[in-house]
Amino acid sequence: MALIPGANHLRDHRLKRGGGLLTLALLLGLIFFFKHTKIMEFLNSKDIGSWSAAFIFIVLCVVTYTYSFVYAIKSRSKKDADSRRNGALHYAYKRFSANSLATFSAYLIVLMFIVAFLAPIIAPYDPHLINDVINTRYLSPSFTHLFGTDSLGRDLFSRALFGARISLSIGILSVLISMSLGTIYGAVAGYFGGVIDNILMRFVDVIMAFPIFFLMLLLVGVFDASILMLILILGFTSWAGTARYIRGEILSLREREFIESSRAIGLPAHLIIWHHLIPNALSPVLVSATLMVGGMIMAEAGLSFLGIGLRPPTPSWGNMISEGQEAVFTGWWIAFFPGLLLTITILSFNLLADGLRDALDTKTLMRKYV
Amino acid sequence: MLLGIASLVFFIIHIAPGDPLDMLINQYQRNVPSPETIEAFRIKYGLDQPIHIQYFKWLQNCLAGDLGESFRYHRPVTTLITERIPFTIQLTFLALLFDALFGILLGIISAVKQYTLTDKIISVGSLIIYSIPGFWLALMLILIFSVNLGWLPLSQTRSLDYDLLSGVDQFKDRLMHLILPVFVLGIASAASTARYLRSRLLEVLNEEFILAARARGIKEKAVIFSHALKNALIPIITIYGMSLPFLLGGSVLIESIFSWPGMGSLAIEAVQNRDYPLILATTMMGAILVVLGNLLADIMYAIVDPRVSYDT
Repeated sequence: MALIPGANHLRDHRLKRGGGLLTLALLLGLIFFFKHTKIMEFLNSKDIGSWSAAFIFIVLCVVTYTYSFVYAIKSRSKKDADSRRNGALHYAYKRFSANSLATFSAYLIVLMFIVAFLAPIIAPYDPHLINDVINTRYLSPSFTHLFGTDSLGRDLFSRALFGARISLSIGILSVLISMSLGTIYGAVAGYFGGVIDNILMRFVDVIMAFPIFFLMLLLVGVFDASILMLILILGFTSWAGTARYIRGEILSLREREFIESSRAIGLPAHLIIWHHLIPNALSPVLVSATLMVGGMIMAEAGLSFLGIGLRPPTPSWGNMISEGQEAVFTGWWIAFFPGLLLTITILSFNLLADGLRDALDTKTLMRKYV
Repeated sequence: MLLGIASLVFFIIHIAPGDPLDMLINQYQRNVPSPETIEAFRIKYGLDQPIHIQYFKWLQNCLAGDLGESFRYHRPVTTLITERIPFTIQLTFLALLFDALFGILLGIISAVKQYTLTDKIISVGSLIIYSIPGFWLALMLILIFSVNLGWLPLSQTRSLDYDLLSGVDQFKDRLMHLILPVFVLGIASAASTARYLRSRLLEVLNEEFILAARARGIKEKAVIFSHALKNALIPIITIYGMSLPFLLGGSVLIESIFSWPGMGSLAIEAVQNRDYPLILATTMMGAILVVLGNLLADIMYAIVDPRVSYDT
């Protein structure tokens, strides 16, 4: 039993996790079965992208098997483990897993990340490969080309996989930048108050008054848009809302007694902010960060769609849709599939955020997208 | 504050790499202008001077209401913008109207029928709609209604034979061209309005004055419409004020898809051509619209909610 990943979870009626593990193991097995020559080849290759894909594949295999093996051994003393779990986080986790829609989207997101990271291994064709344009362009979806081919005869399924990689990494990294910036900025403004607060918040007001998409458009258009630049720009234009929110939260926390007592024992400001204020204001930030990942992915796609973000040879869902717009009379599939993937991705992040909000029991948060 | 925004933008675009002249030279690929012409152009638009002098000159003109002349169109920026802005306002206003109509209606229905199938369909449906990128939705709708069914026009604000049509047909023609852009722009925000109103309304319905109203034997309809809804709608006004930047951002994409000659497409052209005065002017107009929207929301708030007063 212990040799089949997830089997022990299923035996213990932990169906979701067991099913997830089993699916993951099956997926990895299938990939290995069909693509093992490619993986071996990638392990010896000097290209960092392909090498890391192969490396991540192996790490994933190891993690999946070790996790279920350790669980199989440990599950004999299950009762002890259960009695130890009763922190606030455990309750949040319980509430979260009761929400099946949110759990499902969490699994979907994990799956998407895995597929995106393994894109070079899974992709059936080279996303940039162009040969024999006349015979291979505008092929409608079939088993040889799952999503069809575009105007240059490139395989859209492979391009979509590589696009997923770009979209997801841009989404996550830009949100990381924006959240850390916004949290620290808001915490400093809220903690010190007075003149500092006033100056800092006026700056936030200025940024908030911009139509954010205009600002992104401007920056991305004026600076040359590489992936790194895009991440930085998206991150640095969207932190104002978080800063304002955190400031409000900190202002009310600051008056609480435990902060007063930390100040009384002479804790320096940066430690109070870092150890007491930010952790207490963090759960709504987590929710809005999850919401924002969807928004960022949408913004990147929008910019690339306009031809201002990532430019064509680089596959991105946005510029694939824009290529589809040009070919709207010849091939509906060119724009349809990338957009569908985009929608599913954003929807999963929104559902996940919904689930997190209910689980963490934060006040109703509302954020509109870019 | 507007001045702050404008100055920020001014410095960003001047610090950024790339020269507007490169773009201009690219335009004349066949007969490249002589170095003298380029120099003359530089002097004409003041690009030969150091940045701080350019900045103060621009600021001075700006305060006098002169936003400069577009590098590409060789026309004053103010006329370019006044030509384009009515189209954008038309689009966003109608989208807001659509949003208000459907969003509020669906929000009420799903709050009143909480936990029924209708509620679930509306809630999940609005979450899905809210997650669909507007530009993709627009493209798919064009594909269905314009390309395959041929019911609605592809793009632009009016048909090619517009001038030949009679008065009523002209109006109809414009309306047909408006349907898709307004629908796409409005539906996403309608979905979020519905979601927000639902949660607000449920909160209000739990309050004691609702219980009191019901106890007095007031009909359920009256309780919901004249007691609960009034209170739930107040924060919606702020949401509308706040959603204006996003609506404008969305209209950039929608305008580009439907070749709608509004501010959004002007802004894209400006950025692509590095047309400094035009970039500055469009971003400033965007910011002005947002500030106006917020102001309007504040005023509406004071009118609707008697508890708010700005005297203090």
